[in-house]
Order: sequence, then structure tokens, then C-alpha cells
Amino acid sequence: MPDDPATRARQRMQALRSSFREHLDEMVTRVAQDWRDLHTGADQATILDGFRELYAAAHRITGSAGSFGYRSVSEAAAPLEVLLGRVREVDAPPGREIWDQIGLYVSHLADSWSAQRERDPDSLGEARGLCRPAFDPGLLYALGDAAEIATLANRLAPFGYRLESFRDPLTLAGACRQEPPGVVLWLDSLEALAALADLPESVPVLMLAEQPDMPRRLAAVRAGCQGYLTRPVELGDLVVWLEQLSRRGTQPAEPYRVLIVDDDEHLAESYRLVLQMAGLWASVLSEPLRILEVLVTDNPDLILMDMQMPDCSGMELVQVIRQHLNYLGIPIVFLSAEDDRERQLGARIVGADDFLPKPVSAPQLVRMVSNRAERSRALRLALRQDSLTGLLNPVGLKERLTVELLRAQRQSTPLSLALLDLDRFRDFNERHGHYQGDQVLRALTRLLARRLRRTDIIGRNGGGEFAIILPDTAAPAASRVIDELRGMLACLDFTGEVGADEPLTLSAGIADNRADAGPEALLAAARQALRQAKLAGRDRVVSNHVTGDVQR
Amino acid sequence: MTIPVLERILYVEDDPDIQSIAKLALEELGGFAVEACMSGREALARAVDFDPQLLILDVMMPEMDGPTTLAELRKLPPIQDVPAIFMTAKVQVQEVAHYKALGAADVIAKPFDPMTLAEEVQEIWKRYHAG
Repeated sequence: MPDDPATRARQRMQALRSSFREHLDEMVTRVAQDWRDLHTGADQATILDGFRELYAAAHRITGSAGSFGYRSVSEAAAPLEVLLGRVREVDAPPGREIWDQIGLYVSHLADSWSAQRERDPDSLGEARGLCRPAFDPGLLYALGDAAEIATLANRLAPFGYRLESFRDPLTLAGACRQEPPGVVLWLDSLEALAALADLPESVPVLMLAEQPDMPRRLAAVRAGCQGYLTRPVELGDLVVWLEQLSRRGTQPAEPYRVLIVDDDEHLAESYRLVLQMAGLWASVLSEPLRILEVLVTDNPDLILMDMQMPDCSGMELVQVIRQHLNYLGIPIVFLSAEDDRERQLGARIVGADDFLPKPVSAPQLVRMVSNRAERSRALRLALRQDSLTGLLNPVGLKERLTVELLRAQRQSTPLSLALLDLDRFRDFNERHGHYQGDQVLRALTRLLARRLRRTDIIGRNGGGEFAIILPDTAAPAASRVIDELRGMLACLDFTGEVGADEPLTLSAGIADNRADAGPEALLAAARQALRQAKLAGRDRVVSNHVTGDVQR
Repeated sequence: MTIPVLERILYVEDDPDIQSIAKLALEELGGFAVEACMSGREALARAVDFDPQLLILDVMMPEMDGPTTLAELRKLPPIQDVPAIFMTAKVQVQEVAHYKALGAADVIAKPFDPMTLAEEVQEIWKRYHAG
């Protein structure tokens, strides 16, 4: 419909955008020019005037560029605006450190604009600010025998996957272009793999082959398959593969967390903005002496710290942090104008991991911080992971529960803890063997991971017992969610796969934080509820609010 | 309770680029009549005649900023109870509570998405009237 209001508005916006583009070009060029001129300013009044104008320009660019689709330009101008805002407040020319940092932000702004100008998106799509995935991760296409695919579709449904069946590779390729799926499952012959050439490269293909031999595996790799499983497939394995393949290119479930320690609030705020726009979560601490308390509440993957601070030096602070076993592994990156090798070595000896020279360029900051935070997160996870299921182990769980409870308390939001236990799981293991029992645990793990929200935290306490932390959820809502899971478990058919002779069930106990209970009390309350569920005949969910102190 | 239909918006923004795209978005996609002003002073001069149902104010403007403009507008009897939305940089959105204390019904972050701006305004309007 060429004449609907949206299309008409879009056309007129495109016209506005073209003229804005030229204007933005002028503004960015002038910022760079004004910045150069500032260095030759005759007297303080001229210099301050110059800073005021720069501030106004940065403010305009931050507010406008993104609304016209140039989001990265807005994002590059935002930290500049923060620092220039500080100069405006103080109303005196800044010190060397801020001066240099502004210089780097100015060049980053110019770089961002020239990068955008070259590959100018000619639609307002970028302005939408929505990172719509280019594909539907829950949608799967399968090529092969329709009956076999239908069976597979039933088994995958509880995990939230929709499976569409195809007979003909060409139709499949067409569908992949029209509506890209998370993954293509290939149940057809090896010979048919030649048709893979027609599929868009971005769609991953998982081979579900009849034989596991080397020549076939190699052929699959050469044809471009990303994964290879042998039929009949074990459901747990299949779901792990599907999750991995369909998650391509997406951010981690929880952004990496960075704590910035710097006594200069504006400088710290500008770093925070740079990191936040790169998809990280960052918080600022400008009173270094509060570090231990903030480490508990903010739970960072990495600390970015100024080396020179008034109350205590970065070197001293690092040593205090490293006195705590819990924080031995957390990476600490120093921001420092220090290029004295000896002093840097000294800082490393007391426990610093790296140095970023000040002023720091935005891309450099993002690169170093995300790389180190990623490794730190992976390491931390490995130490807190249950080896069988990959979920949090009891140590990790307790730690997260403490953090999440504090957060809930601070934000006055509810939080629930659910303990789930497979009914008569010990009997199951004795009758069918531990290998089969493990398959069940893995299947349940995948079910939980697929069905719960990304913000829910799942752990395994050992045996058939799982624990789930549900932030932002009071006990009644949590009970509903867990009861749905209980229903889904009953639909998972283990009889064929692991030879179970009757359906598996689970019992669950739920408690929430309404009385500001600590982690111990919450765990005890959930355990008590779980016990009640077991006593009442199993296969049910019981919730037990933590009853608070009478004096409260 | 029935929610009145939103028709007239008084919009104050000193940046001509932002003003042009926001006005276009509100008029074309929202179907609203938008009286756009470049400054608080201009808004004060035109507010009573235009008789707006909703005010949208940029926070940072030279001379009279958004909160000051709102306080002055509210001194005009016909504008006394007209709900207001502040528009401000993403940086300051954490301060929503602060702006609400200054009398705003809500805050819209800049940069905004012109394709959804009108919907966002409509949502705020409905929330405001739903209490």
C-alpha cells in the first residue's frame, strides 16, 4: 500500500534525513575544527567559550543523530557530552587528563561519523533501536521423511521449538530466504547434501545421519554442516546442539559486568557510557573505600580502576581486594597515565592484571574490557558449574542467591526460590542405571533452560534436585511457572529413550522473599515446602511464604 | 473511565532538526495537531490560544529550560492541569523519578525512534488517564 500513513511518513522522513545528513556532517566537522582551535585559544575566557560551544554541539549530536538513524554517532557523542558538561559545571579549563580524554572522544566521534557516512543505511531501520534478530531461533526446518520429522517435532515441542517439515531441498532453500529458521535439520541422504549449496550461508545445518563413520562426517563438514549427530538422536544432545547453533551472534544471556573505580565521577561516567553502548553493564564507584560492599552487590566480572586516587591509591586497593579469597580471580585493569615499567610491574606483583594508558580510546577500552571480562566470566562459571548438566553447582547457586536477594531488596522487588526434585529418582537410577538417570537429568536441564526466562537462574544441588531463582517474581506466579514445568515433564516421553516404565514426575517447594529473608532462611523455607510436597504424595508444587519476624 | 482522545500537543524543542522529525512523526503517524515552539518564551506566548491537551518539553534549552518552562506554563490557569512529558538524553533517563517530581507524567529518551514516537506518546497518555 503506497498510500498508507506509515509509508508516507517514512518517505517524508527520508527527505528530512537527507538534509539532516548534511547538517550532521557540518556539525561533526565543526566539533573537530573547534577542538583544534581551542588549543590555540588566546585567553581563558576564549577557551571557556570554546568549551561551551563544544558542549552545545555534543549535546545536539547526542540527541539528534540517533533519531535520524545514526545511532553510533549519538553513542560516540554521549561520553563527550558528559566530559564537556563537567567543564561547563566547573567553569574552568580542565586538567591535562580530562583534556586528553576529550581529545580522544572527539576523534572517536569523527571516526564514527565517517564510518556511518560511508555505509549509510538508507532506511530509518537503524533508528528503530531494536536489534530484531534476523531469524527466529525457535523455528526449525527439517528435510527428510515426514513421519520421522513429525515424531521429532513432538519430542522437541516441550523445549519450545517448532519444526517444519520439507521434502524438497529447493523449497527448503526458498523458505530459508523468506523466513530464516534457527537451524536446519538434515535427515535426508548424504547424496542430497549437494543441495546445501542453495541454502543461505547464514543458516546453520545440523546433520542427523544414519551412520557415524568418518567418510560421512568428513563429507558433511565439506558440504557445510555445522554439526553431526547419529540417529536415533538422544534428545538432550540434540537440544544442546540446537541451542548452540541458534544462538549465533547474540549477546551473552547476561551482559558482562564491569565496576569502574575512579574518584573523578564525570570521567568514570564517560567510561560507563562507552561500555554500556557496547552492550556491557557497568557501574561507577567514586568512593574507593566502599569497594568491598559494592563488590558484593554489583558482582562484577572485571574491575577497571584509576591508579591515582586521593583516599587510597589503586595499588593499595588492589591489595585489599586480593585479601579476599572470593576475589582472587577477578581481573583488575588499571587506568593509568603511568608508563613507568617498574611501577607497572610493581602493580602486577600485588595483583593487577593489566594497564590501559590514559587517555583511553573508546574502541580500545571496549576491546580490552570485553575480552578480559569474557574470560573471567568463563572461568568463574567453570568453578561454579555442575559437571553433568552445566548448571550452577551449590556453591555458585548460594552466591547468586545472595546477590539476587540484595538486588531485590534494593529495588524492592519480589524474588522466589524454587527447589525441584525428581520423584523416586534413586529408584529410577537403581532400576535403569546411572547412565539413563543422567540422560533424564540432562533432558530436564534443557527443558528448564528453554522454558524459563533468561533472567531466571538455574542450579543443581545434586541427585535429582534442582534449584531455580526467579527474580521479579512472587511465590504465586513462581508456583504457576513451576507447575507448568511439572506438567511438561510429564509429557516428556522417556519410555522409548531410556526405557522408563512409567512417566517421571517431580515435586517442588517454593518460597519468596517477602520478609527480607536472607539466603539461608529462604533455602530452608523452600526445602520445607518441598518436604511438604513429597509428604502430600509427590508430583505437586507447594509454596510456603517465609514468615517474617513478629517484631517487623 | 473513558480516556479522552488526544488531539492537540504543544511541543517545545530548541533543536530544529529534532523538532522537525518529531513533529512529522507526531503529525503523520499519530494524527495529532502539533504546535511546535523553539523556546519556553514562545511556548508561553502561544499556549493559551492553542489550548493543548498535552505538553512535550525538551529538558535542556538555553535561557529557559524544560522544568522552568513547565513551571511557568502551569501558572497559566488553562494550562494548570495539562499533563507534560519531558524529552531528555538517554544519559539522564535514570532520573525519571526526578522529572516526575517536577510534575512530568513521564520521560521520553533522546534519541528516539521516529517510527514509534507517536505510539509512545499515546501509551503515556493512556497510562496517565488510567491513573
